[in-house]
Amino acid sequence: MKHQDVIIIGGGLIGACCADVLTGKGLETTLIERRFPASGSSRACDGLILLWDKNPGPEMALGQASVGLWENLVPQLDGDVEFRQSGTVLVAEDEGSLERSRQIVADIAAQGITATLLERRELQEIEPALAVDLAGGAIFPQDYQIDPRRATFSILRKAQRQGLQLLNGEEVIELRRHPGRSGGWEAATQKHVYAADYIVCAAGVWTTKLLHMLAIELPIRPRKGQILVIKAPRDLIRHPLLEGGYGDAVHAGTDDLQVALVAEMTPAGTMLVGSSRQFAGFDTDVSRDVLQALARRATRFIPELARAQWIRSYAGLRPWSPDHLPLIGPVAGFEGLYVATGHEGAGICLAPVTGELIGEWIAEEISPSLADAISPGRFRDYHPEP
Amino acid sequence: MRRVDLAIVGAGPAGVAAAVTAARRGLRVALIDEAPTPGGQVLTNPGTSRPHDARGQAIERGQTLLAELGRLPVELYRETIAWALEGTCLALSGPESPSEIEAAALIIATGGREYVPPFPGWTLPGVMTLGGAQRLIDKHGVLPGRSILIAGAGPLMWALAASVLENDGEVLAILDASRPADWARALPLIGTLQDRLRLAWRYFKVMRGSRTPYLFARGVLQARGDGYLEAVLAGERTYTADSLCVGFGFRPNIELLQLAGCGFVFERWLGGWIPAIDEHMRTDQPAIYAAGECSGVGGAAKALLEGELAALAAGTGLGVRLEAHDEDRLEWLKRRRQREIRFARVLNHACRPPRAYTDDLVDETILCRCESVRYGQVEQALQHGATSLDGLKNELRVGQGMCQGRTCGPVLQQVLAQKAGQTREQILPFHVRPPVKPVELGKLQEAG
Ligand SMILES: Cc1cc2nc3c(=O)[nH]c(=O)nc-3n(C[C@H](O)[C@H](O)[C@H](O)COP(=O)(O)OP(=O)(O)OC[C@H]3O[C@@H](n4cnc5c(N)ncnc54)[C@H](O)[C@@H]3O)c2cc1C
Ligand SMILES: Cc1cc2nc3c(=O)[nH]c(=O)nc-3n(C[C@H](O)[C@H](O)[C@H](O)COP(=O)(O)OP(=O)(O)OC[C@H]3O[C@@H](n4cnc5c(N)ncnc54)[C@H](O)[C@@H]3O)c2cc1C
Repeated sequence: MKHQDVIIIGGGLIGACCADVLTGKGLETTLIERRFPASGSSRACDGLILLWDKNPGPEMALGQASVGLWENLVPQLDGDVEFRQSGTVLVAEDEGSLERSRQIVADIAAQGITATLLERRELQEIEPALAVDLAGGAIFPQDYQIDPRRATFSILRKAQRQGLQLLNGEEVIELRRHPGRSGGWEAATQKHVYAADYIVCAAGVWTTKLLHMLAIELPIRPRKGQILVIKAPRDLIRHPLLEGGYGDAVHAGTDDLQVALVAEMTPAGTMLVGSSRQFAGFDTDVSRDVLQALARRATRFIPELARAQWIRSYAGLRPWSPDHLPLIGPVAGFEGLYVATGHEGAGICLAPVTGELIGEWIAEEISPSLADAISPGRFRDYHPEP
Repeated sequence: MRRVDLAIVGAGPAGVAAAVTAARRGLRVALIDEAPTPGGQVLTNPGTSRPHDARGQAIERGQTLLAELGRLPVELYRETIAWALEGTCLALSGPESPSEIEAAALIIATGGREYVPPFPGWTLPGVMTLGGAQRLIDKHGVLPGRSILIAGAGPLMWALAASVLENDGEVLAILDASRPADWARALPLIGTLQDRLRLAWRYFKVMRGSRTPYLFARGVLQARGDGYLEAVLAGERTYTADSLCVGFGFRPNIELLQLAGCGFVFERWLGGWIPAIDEHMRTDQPAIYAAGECSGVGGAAKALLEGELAALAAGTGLGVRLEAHDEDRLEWLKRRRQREIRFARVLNHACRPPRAYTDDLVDETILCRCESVRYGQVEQALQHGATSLDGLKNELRVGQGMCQGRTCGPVLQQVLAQKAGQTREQILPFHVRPPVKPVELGKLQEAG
């Protein structure tokens, strides 16, 4: 194949959004995916596009930009990606948790996002299936849901129409500088060697393995999440539900298992129940203790679920980064090499803005205003644990 | 946690034979089945429905063992699903079962499920499997319809036709998709098939007596009707039927064995992917055995031999001393099993659906019933480059519904093999995670 402008490694939602923007700007782009689209974390996740959980500052700026981009992007896609503004409800188990919700509502409202505190009775009216002893909660009507897999496929289709070369079933096993051109790169798979001016590593949690080949160490760690799939009456819950302690679980500074309820309905009539967070290597097996912990949380908040049929389970890996901000941008000292990962539990939400930023760098050669906050180089002194 | 020497999942002929064999030798046995009564697909509880002697020696022997089971101190867990396992520890969900059983050895005898290749209209009410129709008659005394068309391949068709006719029902025709030459392959085995020949002869006498048309027909069926089956098109003919009973043999239920991490081999004429086992039914996982249809489709006689064999082998592994006659029996079982496997290959070959079923699929035909995914969508996904079941699942949600790919898995495997230019061996079954069958969430919560 002829020398390309860009090679993207990884066909998850992040790689797909990068491909959409780059091909949209007229660059000759090839995406190499070792299995098939959304075969990594972008299929083993939830589909919540949340703003209330974003910290003020760069994270919130990224989130708000991305939601706007989602709203623009979806109408341009073929096929129903199940994008819907269902809003989310935060559920407070006790008075302490309700107090936290009050704080979140105040903080979020200050960012210009609609948020309403719910008293016990109001919560019951909005979500009648919830346990009666809950203290209250909050509602964020602007949040969205989407089907991340369908979105990945549809966005890749769009990019293909714009000229993307999509290569499935090829794994990049070596990355090296182009021997002939200065600044160019070669990506070798088992089958072929591909050449381009730019490389975008969007290989999710596996990005570390790719860059390790170039002796670049990134502090990304796979943070595993397990999910129960339950057959539930379609209107059992009317909004995606998250328990008050969800934010604490996300930001927990320890390596211990964190469990906090996240429940969402899919249009297919199944409920996805999470969330768990643990550092357990790259393995995506489910484990009974964690599934049980999820089941207990689920029935604690939605007692009726005890009699619902549990039909499946799965596990995915969140690309965790130490400061809860993604790593997007050029790798210092490696001209033409870009990284786009580290979104932890927010990669679905932040995918379009990630593509946009990569596009600004590569196609327009400008450095976005948030560049420093999300620069992969900010962890220069990071040393991987043995 | 409950502890036993031997836990057996599945109380069909294989599981019952295993339980009786082990319990007779003093092992503490737990037998688990999701059905309300033991017996699996063919054995019936004493006292119900028809005389079972009409079903041949194997089933008769199975009935005897089932009766003996009731007199042995076997812990029988009815209506209990084994939904996961870790090593030889089973996770259970049932009204009276513990939530977990830790066994020193485990026999998986989860049987098989009938295979029906998709054809236009196959999801219409009124279309059912041969076994489903047989169970309606045997267990509930109900005929599947007024005008019944029987189609597919294999002895289940004959047995069903005979049952319908003996119960004064009407069979419009029997459309046999096998070729007479397929059965000629059984000739070298004829010496060991006496009882089965007698049985087939009995069925044929019933069919001939009623002058039911018997046609060899390898064309694709088409079921039509407005909300319910009204007509079936088969080649040039149209049958006005309110019941179409169809089946093309069985596929093994391997999900628990997949969860156990067992190695698999592809044996097209034993049902596809089956666990790699040695001559003592041992899988490659410590103390885990497989017996009956789930280790290779082959009928009740094979299942009985294998259940016994697995229990003797598991018993030896647990320190049960075999008597001299046990040793002889073991050798005899192994020899007989080899013969049954030879016969099974003939049977499964004869039951293969004609290629036209996959070659001539039309866009509207549903392939995954739970998620209503049609062939046209699958073809598109194939054009987009999907090459595996998990790839299709990712793009189309096939296999994500209540049945967890039990129905569409084998269907899609065949479609992929034929349309994506791969060999059947290249197409792995769906990846399996717990629960292997739907379980009440409350049960998960209790477990452990
Ligand atoms: C349980 C769970 C719930 C979540 N819920 C949400 C949520 O509600 N909202 C939200 O916004 N986010 C959520 N997330 C996070 C989100 O799923 C991820 O941030 C996002 O999917 C990451 O996308 P990605 O494209 O970076 O990675 P992936 O989807 O993992 O894609 C990376 C791809 O790279 C491929 N690849 C890897 N190595 C190579 C190689 N060498 N050569 C070629 N290809 C390679 C892989 O096969 C893979 O397809 C959740 C995550 C989990 C685990
Ligand atoms: C209608 C009909 C008629 C037949 N007639 C004949 C015949 O005349 N002669 C003949 O040789 N063969 C016949 N067969 C085939 C015969 O039924 C099978 O060969 C035989 O039953 C196989 O025995 P098995 O023990 O392997 O499995 P099965 O009989 O299928 O038993 C498996 C058992 O496992 C249980 N099970 C599966 N998974 C789980 C789980 N996760 N948890 C708990 N329980 C589980 C099921 O409930 C089932 O009871 C017939 C089949 C049918 C459907």
